Amino acid sequence: MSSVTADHVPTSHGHDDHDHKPHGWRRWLFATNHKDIGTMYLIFSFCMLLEGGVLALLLRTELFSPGLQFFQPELFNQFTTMHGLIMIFGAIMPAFVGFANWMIPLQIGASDMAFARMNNFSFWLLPIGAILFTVSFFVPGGANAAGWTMYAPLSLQMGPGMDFNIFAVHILGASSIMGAINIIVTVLNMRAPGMTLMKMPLFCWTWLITAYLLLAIMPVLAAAVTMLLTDRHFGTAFFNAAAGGDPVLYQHVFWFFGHPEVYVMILPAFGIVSAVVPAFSRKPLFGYASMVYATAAIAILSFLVWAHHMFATGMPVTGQLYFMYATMLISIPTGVKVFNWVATMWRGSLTFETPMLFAIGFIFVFTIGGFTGLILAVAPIDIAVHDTYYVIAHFHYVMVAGSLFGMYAGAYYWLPKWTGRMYDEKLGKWHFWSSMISFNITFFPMHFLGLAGMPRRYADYAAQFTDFNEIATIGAFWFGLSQLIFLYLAIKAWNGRGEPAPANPWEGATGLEWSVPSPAPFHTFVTPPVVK
Amino acid sequence: MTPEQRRKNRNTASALVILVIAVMVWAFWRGGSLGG
Amino acid sequence: MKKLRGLLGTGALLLAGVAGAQVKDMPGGPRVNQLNLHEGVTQIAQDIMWIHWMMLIICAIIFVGVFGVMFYSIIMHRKSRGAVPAKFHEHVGIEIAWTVIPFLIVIGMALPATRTVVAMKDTSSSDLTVKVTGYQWKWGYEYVDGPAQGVKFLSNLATPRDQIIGTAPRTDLYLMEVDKPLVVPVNKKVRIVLTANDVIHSWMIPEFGVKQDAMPGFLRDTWFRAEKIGTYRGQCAELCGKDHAFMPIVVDVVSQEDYEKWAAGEKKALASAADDPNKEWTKDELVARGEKVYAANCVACHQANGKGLPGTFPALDGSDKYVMGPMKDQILTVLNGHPGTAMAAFRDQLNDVEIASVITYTRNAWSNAGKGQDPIVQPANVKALR
Repeated sequence: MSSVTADHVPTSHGHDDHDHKPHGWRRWLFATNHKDIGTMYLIFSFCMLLEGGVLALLLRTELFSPGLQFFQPELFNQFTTMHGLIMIFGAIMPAFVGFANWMIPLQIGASDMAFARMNNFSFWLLPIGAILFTVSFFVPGGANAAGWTMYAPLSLQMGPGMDFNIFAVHILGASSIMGAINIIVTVLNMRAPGMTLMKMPLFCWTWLITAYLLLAIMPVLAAAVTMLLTDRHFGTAFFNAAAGGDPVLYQHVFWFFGHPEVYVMILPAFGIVSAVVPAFSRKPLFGYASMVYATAAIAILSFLVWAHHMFATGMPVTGQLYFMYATMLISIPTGVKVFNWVATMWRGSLTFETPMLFAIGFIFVFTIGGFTGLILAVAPIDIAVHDTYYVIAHFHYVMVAGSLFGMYAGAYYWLPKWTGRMYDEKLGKWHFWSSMISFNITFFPMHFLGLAGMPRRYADYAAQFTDFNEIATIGAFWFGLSQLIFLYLAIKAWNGRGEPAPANPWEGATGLEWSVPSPAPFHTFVTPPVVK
Repeated sequence: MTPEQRRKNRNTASALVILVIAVMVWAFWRGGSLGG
Repeated sequence: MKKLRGLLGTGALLLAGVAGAQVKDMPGGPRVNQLNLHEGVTQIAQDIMWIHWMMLIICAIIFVGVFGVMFYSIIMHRKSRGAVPAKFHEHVGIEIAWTVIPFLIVIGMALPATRTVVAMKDTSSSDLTVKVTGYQWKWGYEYVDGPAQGVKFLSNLATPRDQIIGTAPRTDLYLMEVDKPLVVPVNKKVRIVLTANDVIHSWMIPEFGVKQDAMPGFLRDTWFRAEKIGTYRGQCAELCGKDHAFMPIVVDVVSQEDYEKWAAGEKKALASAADDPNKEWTKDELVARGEKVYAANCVACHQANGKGLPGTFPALDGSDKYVMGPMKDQILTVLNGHPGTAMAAFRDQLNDVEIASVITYTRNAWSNAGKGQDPIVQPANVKALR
């Protein structure tokens, strides 16, 4: 691994950095290196993916047949709630921050993030939040059982587990805000000379925009859960009608956070796919400028549509119409992005290694989720399927087949850079096909359940819904097991087994990250490269 | 990082923190007019 | 580990097969393995079905178009086929076209939807209004006008517990049957005014195309006009706690004639279950009842010990003029209140039995102990003074 190269590319071997690199537990607890912190975020988020996944399998086990076989409804509601909270705040968001930490400095030619120590703090807040989430199951009354959306007044009835949740959300929110500030400052201020904003890889653009979204929405979420806290314990009545409050106020504040939040969870995936597809098509990304504008348009529009989650609350007609129109509009820039990816592939020279499989799988399945989203935007249809399994199908299509598959595309793409080893390509393909098929088996039938009227957050259901529930449960177990394939091959590469990877293992890949050795040395771009 | 780089970073971050605080204040004050 | 999972899975499947027997479509509810929305028995439900088909077809066309191109590319533009990559990476004309055309398509989709949104929100000119209240965990119905005005009752899940835990076979109505359904006439516009008693609930009936959240402390409304006689079923559609899945909705849509017959029957039953003011009640009956009425209506001011708040709320314990004196003054006070003070008129809030019993209670409680005049007041005495 120690290859001393000619010094036109800065490596860690030309200087004394090796001697200054920390070792042992201090390396991790006091990490300020963006690669180490990125690694910790990714490992943490995968653990959370497994914890959230177990909760999903528990609830799907109960839902295998009608009737209550294993869990009382109170406990079942805790599973559904915590599955959502852990996946969103523990798995998806931190994983994307892990990608940002690893890749943004490498892609813009910066030596590290702008605020390396704050970066460390941002990470170490996460296990604290995760512990609060997990421990909440064991306090009297159990975990929060009011849904990840924590609507008042139901959330005001919950026991101390709810307060654990509120504090966890505060802590995780603080971590996100600090991470977002770090990313914005890094991208705006620390690009290598010659790398203008419009020359930046799209992944950096999507994260830049995502970071602004985070800054705007996390404080609002903090406000919403703080109001829950004070209503619960300090005598306020924000959400209590008898004292002049209104439960719908909570929904407005929550969804003002909640809608842009879903774009926070997908835009970085758009960025990853926008790197992977051109690389494996051996052709530049089609319409780079439109992709930037479309991402910005999606982000701005995302602030203007929140009440499409509230069509059944009793909004006046003008409200229903406005939010319907605005929501339908978001499909336009989203569609543009899909067209651009397909146009990138068109008349390229395609190969289908695992990253490309996940990227194409993403485009295919995310688009299905996008269509059901457009259908949900149509208010009369939403009235029929709001709070049914149709909605569950929709958001799992965009968040699992969307965000998660996008992340897997990025993980396989950049794993050689992170670990210095080529992962096992055959296993990677197994992981893809197994996940792709089992995912669809799990979630496609849920569209039917929702259209037929099966409500969500139900521990038990009418017998006519049995078959599709059985299929979904079987698919869910298969999907869960499939993720262990990824775990296995990631650990294998991490432990240094597999073909050594060259600096650029992908024929069509471009970008500064491929100009440094694999694995990327501890310090890279100590002197910024000049970009033409 | 050079001192001017640090200074530039600090200024950008301060601007963002002000944005965050402004959003929090807005959420608590104007949030009251939403609802119903 | 995988094998164990497989064994468990197969075992569970077999069990489910045995226990499930052959479930059939639920009348008025979901069909077995239903794929699409309900056809519906209201114009709105049918509109929703139409709009959904329109959306599905348009999306399917776009889907086939986009992925046709993509799969063509996957096959024909593979490196293994010798494809050489082109170099183009933008084309302003195409990019404008594929922005503008979807925009026009979206506008086209929004037009029929707009009509339906407006129709769904128009609750005016209804033929009948019913007030629906969501409780943890049941629904309450109250007829506000029409032949059944004043009829009110609770509607609870009727599926027995042993079906839920699996010790009895499940019927086709499993989880969507109630003890007392809502009854409405066919072909009449029914306005539903909704509220909740505790947390947010939601009243949903797929066959009507209706869903409306019930907010505690607020009134919301929606409407339906059922065009076919039958029984239709729905469920609560907003997480409301542990028995969220166990508070269904059943609506019996009947002919106008049957509706009026039912309404008359209900009113009669209500009246006979109601307190009979002409009956002679015993002292114990009155005192027991009166204690409950007192606790619910009087305790806030006059206190549980009857001592009130000196200077503000008079004491009833030892009250010479009203409680220890002749019954007439106390009855009139309770009926009509004291205008200009906090003492409200209870003539419309409490019936004769309730007023008689609470007065009797005060005359026998605390140190009053039945020692004053008229220790027993009958409902007939109250009725005479209304």
